[in-house]
Amino acid sequence: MPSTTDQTLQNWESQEYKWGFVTDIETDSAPPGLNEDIVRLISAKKSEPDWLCEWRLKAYRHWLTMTEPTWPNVHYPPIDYQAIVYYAAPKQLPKLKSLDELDPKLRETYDRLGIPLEEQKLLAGVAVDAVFDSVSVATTFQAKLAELGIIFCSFSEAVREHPDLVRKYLGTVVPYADNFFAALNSAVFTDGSFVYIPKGVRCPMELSTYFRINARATGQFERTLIVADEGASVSYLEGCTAPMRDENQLHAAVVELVALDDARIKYSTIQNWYPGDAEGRGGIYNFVTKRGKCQGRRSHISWTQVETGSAITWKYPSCILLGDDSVGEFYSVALTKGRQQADTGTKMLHIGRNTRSTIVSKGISAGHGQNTYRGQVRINRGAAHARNFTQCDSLLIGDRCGAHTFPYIEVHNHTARMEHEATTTKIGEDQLFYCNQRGLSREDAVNMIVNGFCKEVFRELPMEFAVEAQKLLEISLEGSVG
Amino acid sequence: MTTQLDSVAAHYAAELDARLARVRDPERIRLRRAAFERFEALGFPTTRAEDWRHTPLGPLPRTAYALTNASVLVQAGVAPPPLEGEVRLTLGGGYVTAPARVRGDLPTGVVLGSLAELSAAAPDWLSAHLARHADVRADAFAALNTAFLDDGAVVYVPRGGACAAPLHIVHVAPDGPTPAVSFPRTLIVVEAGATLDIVEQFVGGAGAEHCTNAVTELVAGPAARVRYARLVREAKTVHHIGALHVALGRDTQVSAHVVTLGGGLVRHNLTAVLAEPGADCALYGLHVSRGTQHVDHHLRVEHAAPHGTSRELIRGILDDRAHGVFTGRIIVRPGAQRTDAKQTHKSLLLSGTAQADSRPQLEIYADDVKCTHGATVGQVDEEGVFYLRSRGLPADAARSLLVYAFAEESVASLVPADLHDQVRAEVLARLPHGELLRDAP
Repeated sequence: MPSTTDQTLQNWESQEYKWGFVTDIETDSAPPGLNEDIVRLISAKKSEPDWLCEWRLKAYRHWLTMTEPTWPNVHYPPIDYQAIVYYAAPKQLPKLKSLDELDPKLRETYDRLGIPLEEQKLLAGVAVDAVFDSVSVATTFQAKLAELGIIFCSFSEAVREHPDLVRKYLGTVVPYADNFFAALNSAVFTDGSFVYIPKGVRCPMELSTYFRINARATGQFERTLIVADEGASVSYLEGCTAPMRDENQLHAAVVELVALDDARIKYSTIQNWYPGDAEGRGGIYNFVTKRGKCQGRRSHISWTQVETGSAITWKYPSCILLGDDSVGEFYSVALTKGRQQADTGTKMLHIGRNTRSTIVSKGISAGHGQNTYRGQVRINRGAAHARNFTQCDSLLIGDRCGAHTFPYIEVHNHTARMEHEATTTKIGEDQLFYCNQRGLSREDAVNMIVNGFCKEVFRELPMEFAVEAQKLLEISLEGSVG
Repeated sequence: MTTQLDSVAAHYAAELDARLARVRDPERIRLRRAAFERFEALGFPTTRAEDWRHTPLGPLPRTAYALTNASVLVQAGVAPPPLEGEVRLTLGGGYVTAPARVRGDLPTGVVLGSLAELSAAAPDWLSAHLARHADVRADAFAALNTAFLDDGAVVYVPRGGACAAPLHIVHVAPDGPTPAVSFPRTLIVVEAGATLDIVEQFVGGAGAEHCTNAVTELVAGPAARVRYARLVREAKTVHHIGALHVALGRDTQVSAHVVTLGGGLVRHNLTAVLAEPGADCALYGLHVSRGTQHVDHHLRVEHAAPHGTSRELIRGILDDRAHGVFTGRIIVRPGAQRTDAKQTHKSLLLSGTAQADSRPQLEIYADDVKCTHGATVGQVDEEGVFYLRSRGLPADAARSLLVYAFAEESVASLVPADLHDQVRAEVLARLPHGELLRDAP
């Protein structure tokens, strides 16, 4: 095994990032740095109402009083927040009547990323709101969704067209003072997606956004807000790839989900941003605040994530289980190789009665990767008969990586039942040997074992994503065993 | 508040100066001064520190406790019942006051005695291990204990030696109306191939909100076998902060039981370092808490060499407004291949106001390992109660039996047998309707 393991690591480390390219489009950028004027500039550029500008300024002033958190189990050089460009929009912004009018370069970018914009209308029934840098440039299927009263648009558009809805829900799940990066995002967020599903409507298609960080040294500060009204249901997909570059890029997004009575929100992510080179230079810093609020009775929020990219991932998609009988779920696969570091997990806050939560986290570490699960399950005094099940498994490949598990379990109600289990193992020689003698190559065997290891999570993904996720892991594992 | 804290620190500093004036050994003075400097730098931890998140210290940091000295009287009534064939050493407020305090016959070569007396003879093993294992650098309480290292209990078993009789160290906390702090200290050195059964008990402390700040260092050499038990049975007003540091050598086997039946605020800092290959360490914890008791187990097991095995099994039964806290970290250092580590924490909540916080943690830097942890929090299994009732047990007895069975699992391997019986009786006495089971076989 030692020689093959070394081979594995070498192959992994030499494997190039397959989605690295920079699209050359003129951008209209603000000067680097952050101050109240920049915040006002962003707000003005987006012709926002005064209340939103004020809200941004409040967030900015609060951010100034905060210090960057140091508790995550990740290491990176200090970030110079004054060196970041906080606003960049693609210059030419025509109102598009059809997809054919789209800039051919943009089209090419999307094609290389594999977003089938043209085919979408025929295929799969996926409406795409592609975020190119900070401003949404293509939104499809609007009309079809509008028939049902579903609002699916860019955040800036929502601020213009549906200011009341935005004002009602913005910051109710992640307040601007929540944490350092959420405060920063609240001050300078440029765009993102907004979804509103009206009462009793089941969204007929998967809603999806491809985030793409493009212009150099432009931190992206997305803001996503999804509201499912009573009895509504929606499945939302988010997938990302980013071009190769040398400078570390900060990405501090905020995602807020609100589920009212009997509503269901399923939020799935595939994250495959540039992880940096073999020495860990470059690569995206992914510091994200994602939180869902099960506000109504019997509401249901489910997070599914497949994290394979980014130099540093720091995110905890969480659920506030406020309504009685509400359900929160978290399914995660996190792969770290090379010098990647991931500190990810979830928070389940049980407030309502009979609330239930399930956490399944699968971490795979290889090379010098450091993978940390950090999760909190808190059962408040009033959360009678709350139930939690947590399982965190780690798979180690190579002897220079690390896998860590830091759960926080706080139980204040004696009728609650909670279980936590964690295991750490490697792929057994005996398992590989068994597969070999049944005629499978070592590589196929590793693929099969890893896919089996992640199956519980992949099962939760929408079909298109499950295929993509499996492909992603297989590519990552390519040539891993000789 | 700051000034109050400063005045407490000044109080300790003045007491330290007075004590050090009587110490002649310059090495010891340097050790104690350095420890006190660490304490001053660290200060008492607050809940803002990650390691103390769930355990507020209450008035402890602000109290200028009276310091105990060699004159603490050991009340006859508080002494625990004898164990069969035991050799006992009794300390009052951390001091061994008279040679008569050692009762029983020791095998040749085995030492059980006072640190102050032994320091004069200065055997090599004493200077090699004293204050070398407790974490003086990061743990403020261990630093403070080390600063006030006047006396303590010392145990030594020479190479290949066997101590058939169980050794029994009894720490009696001061009692009386003035809040007092004592710094019990124990050093246990077991050389290569030796075996030892040892029990350390903490009793007394009635009358006021006393504080016990105890540190035990247990060093076991290659292939040594040690079975250690630690019982906290102090009065329910006592703040007990205790540290146990276990250092294991090659192929060493150590099992440690920590049973908490008394004290008000109890914090156990339990550390095991498996520095050599093939070491095997088992830590068992049990607490039966009620009233407003707060019991915190803080474990850190460090696998620094290959082929190590560790097991941690901590259980808590919480009634009334009791609060149980658990933090357990298994660290597997790079190169510690073939480590097999398992950690389990279970809490049973008997009342609606009891609270359990659990943080089992794994930190792994080697790949060929088998590490698991598990944590559960729940109440008595109603199906189990139903089954027992269907077999003819009254509901209360059924419930009590299930709760006792839960506790028994973490003390099943407790030795000596008569200590196990004492613990069993005391656990039953603390359980609701425990009396129904008292006569059961």
